[in-house]
Amino acid sequence: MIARLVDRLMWRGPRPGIAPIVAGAALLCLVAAAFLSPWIAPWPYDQQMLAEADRAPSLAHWFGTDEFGRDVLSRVLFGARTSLSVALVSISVSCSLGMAIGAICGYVGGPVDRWVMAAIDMTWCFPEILLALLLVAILGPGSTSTVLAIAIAYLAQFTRLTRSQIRALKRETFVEASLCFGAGPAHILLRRLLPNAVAPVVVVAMLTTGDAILLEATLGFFGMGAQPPTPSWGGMMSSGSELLFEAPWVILWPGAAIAASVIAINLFGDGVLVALDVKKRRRTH
Amino acid sequence: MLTVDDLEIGFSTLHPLAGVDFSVARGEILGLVGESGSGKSMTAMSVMGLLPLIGGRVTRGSIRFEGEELTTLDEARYRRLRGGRIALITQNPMTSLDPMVRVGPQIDQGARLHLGLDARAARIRTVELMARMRIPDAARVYDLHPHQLSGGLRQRIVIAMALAGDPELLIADEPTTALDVIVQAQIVQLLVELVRERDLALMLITHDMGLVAQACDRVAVMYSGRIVESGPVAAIFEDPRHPYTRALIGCIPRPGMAEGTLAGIPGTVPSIADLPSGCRFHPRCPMAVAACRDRVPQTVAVAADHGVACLLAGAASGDAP
Repeated sequence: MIARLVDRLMWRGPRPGIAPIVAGAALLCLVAAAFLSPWIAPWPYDQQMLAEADRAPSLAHWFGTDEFGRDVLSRVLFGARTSLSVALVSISVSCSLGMAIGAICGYVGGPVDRWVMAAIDMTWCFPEILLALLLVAILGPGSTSTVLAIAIAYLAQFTRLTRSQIRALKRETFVEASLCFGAGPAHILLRRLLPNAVAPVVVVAMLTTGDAILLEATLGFFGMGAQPPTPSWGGMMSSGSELLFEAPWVILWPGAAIAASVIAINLFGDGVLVALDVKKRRRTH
Repeated sequence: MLTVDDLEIGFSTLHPLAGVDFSVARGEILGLVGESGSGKSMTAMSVMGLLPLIGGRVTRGSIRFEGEELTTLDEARYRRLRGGRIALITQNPMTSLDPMVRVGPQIDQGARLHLGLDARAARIRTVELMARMRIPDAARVYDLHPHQLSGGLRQRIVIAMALAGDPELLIADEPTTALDVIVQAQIVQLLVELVRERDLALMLITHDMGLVAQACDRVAVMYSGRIVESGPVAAIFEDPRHPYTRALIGCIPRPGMAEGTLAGIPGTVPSIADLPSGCRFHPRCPMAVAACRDRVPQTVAVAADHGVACLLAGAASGDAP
């Protein structure tokens, strides 16, 4: 799959266009910024300079300072760590758990499938944000419970997608052929079904990562995410909202960071969707 | 080698197969012929033990392979048999290969599973096998994905997959339907050679009487879940006793035929949910008499190794189709 992606991005086969590549580069920069924040941030994220509170962007503080005189640029960079890692970890957990449950339900079928899916479907009774808020309320605020809450909020979609993929693939002739050559259920599931089901799940996972960043920011905005002084984009927007007119840059920059990362992830995800489409590949001879 | 005796299978209350008898010996090619819907593929699924997968079960009769009863075999032992001793060549080479996996490793699967070879040994064996399938440049094709191959090459790969575990009995379920005529002939030629060379038994499922005449030693003609006539190819073609067999033979185009004389069989195979009483062929049979409506014909031997299930078997002998 990785090889195919590289193949695609090297302009062989259907071209995903320039937007995903730019978006991918932007994403890479964001991730690099998050990783390198301790070294590239001009100030520590928690250093308060009360004398310089609510300053507009200047040469010393490119993005200005907040109500405690903390450097907004440094906080946005450190916030990228929290926001991106929470989103990535929660989607990874959600995606792998969803794939495992969905694959087993889709392959086994019968009462197991019915009951497990009924339980999973119940999470769809609530909007993601409500479910996540409920879970954080139960687990208590903090990064770990945010991760868990987001993972559970998106579990149903990964489970359902994988399950439907597996159910459709199960009837394919190559699966029957594999059975006819003496393959057991583990071989069928892990070697035949899952590799063929993974591409759309990966694309959905990428697109959902954008949603997860938004959800994490929302939880942060409600004060349910990472706890102060750890900066998160949602938390920064929440405190910035109180100074909306006096110091608009405090809310503007984290908001722009959220928007930029969500747009970049979505555009990149669209590109991957095009690139991974196996069936559109041409014959080479 | 394989003996199927009075096989009946059921899907809830329906019985797509009701009394199927035939046998295949080592080194022999048996053609299982019939229209679509007559139960040929169902028979193959039964022998492979894959009926539970599509919701069916054996309700009567027996399937014996080298003296071992398969209808009561447990799944773990059946799995060793599949691919290891009995292999199925599936119908459509376009969909029988995993699109995500290179074709070579797909062939390796059988050898690794049944012969216990490691990856390197399996690869060497696979490339040899592919060369034997007359796949040009086998070592390079090994690393290609299925979508990069033509239909004929893919069918050769599917056959190689079936042979990878060194089976003794091959079941080929319409191996040539998805291919053009020239490739068809090559594939059938290849199958016949393999059977002769390795002393295999082959059950060739097809609806093409011409193919049967070309490749098979014996024929079993199937109609609506029953074997209506079976015997050596020469006997069946020279002296077909069942009206259905005659009709099938009449469907083969021949050079020099006058325009518009190629015969068809009026009507269609009955649905298993609504089977006619008596002989299941009587609504379409040109020679049906009143008794055909009420009596189920039993298989009678009209010659050595030539059985017919038709009430008129004796009387119909020798008539032109």
